[in-house]
Amino acid sequence: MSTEARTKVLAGAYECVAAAGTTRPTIDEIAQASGVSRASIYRWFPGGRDEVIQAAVGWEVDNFFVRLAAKLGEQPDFASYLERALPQARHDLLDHALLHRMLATEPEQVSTLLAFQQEHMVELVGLAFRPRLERDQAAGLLRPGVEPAAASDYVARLALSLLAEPGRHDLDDPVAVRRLVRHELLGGIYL
Amino acid sequence: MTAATLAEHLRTSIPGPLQEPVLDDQQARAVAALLRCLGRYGLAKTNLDDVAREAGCSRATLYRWVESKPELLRLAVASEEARVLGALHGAVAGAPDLPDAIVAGVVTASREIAGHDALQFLLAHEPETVYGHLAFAEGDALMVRIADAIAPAFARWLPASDGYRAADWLARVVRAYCLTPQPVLDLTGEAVARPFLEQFVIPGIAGSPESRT
Repeated sequence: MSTEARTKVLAGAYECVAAAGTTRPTIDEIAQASGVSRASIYRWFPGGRDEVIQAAVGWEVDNFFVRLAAKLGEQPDFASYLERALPQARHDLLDHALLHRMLATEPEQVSTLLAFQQEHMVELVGLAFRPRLERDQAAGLLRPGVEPAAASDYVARLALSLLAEPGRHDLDDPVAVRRLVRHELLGGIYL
Repeated sequence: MTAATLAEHLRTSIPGPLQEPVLDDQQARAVAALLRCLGRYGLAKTNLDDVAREAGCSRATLYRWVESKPELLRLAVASEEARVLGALHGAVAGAPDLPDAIVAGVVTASREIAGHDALQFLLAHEPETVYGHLAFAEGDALMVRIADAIAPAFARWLPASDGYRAADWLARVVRAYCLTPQPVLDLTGEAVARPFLEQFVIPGIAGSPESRT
């Protein structure tokens, strides 16, 4: 299956969810929206509708972080990058109209679909963080014994937690974000 | 809805602290029976007949104790949350120093989660019944309830606002590593938990705020 055809199916499925306001469109609807035949969709996604929808959620998660990365640009160091990324990501999440529409109608289904994307998100975000940590390690900025792989996984997991459930942390307050980044997130990683 | 008004909405929609239910003996018996049923059959396949049988009483008697299955479930969730938070508070407050308090808190919470048959059955077979309440507005509210409940246990080592931060971070670490569809890191034993927490978590909580600004 070509990447292009797969993207057509996932974009079609996403379009169906957006149009119908439900996470349970039929395969016929997805076939029609994507211009890919029912048979091909079943060949590529043997799990049927649930598998397509889960993949479409993953596809939109990818798009979310690609759009975010494009807005962030480069920063002098990893801490500054995180200080910019956290409020921007929170804004983008709150601006995601379809997510909030779906959370109003099918909160349990949407939260569960996203929970099953958690490891995918950690991996995506961790992969973006890791080269920055490796660069800072080469510059002698990291504590001895820190492995960039484990460290980027930790920062990714906890940054995603702050993004989705900030609790009482105000991610719009630069002083609060600076403290979170330089203590809770990076306190054990940087010298 | 703009981002700002939505953020405001989410902030104000966080419900107040959960009132710990005061269960009478019969309700406690019904809750214990429900939890055993959930650990065996899950939520959808458990009805009040099953709970009555498990509790060793008649259906009519059970209905005198609790009015419905949703009501019994609400009592079970609230009393389990209060029980686990009590255990967590005790583990943190009873530790000899701050690093040990963080290790004890994370290990205790991880064990409560891993050893909870009803929760584990639901996570494996009916994940939407759990994850639906862990994310976004409800997840936010839960995070705040946990942090509020645990923060006072850090009072021996940290001022109140830092105690809240420590409790919030402890809750996040457990949520991020122990409540995931795939296992990540087994924090139920000190052998794994302590080196991980000493490396990544404890310096960020125990380090003096002024030293890293």
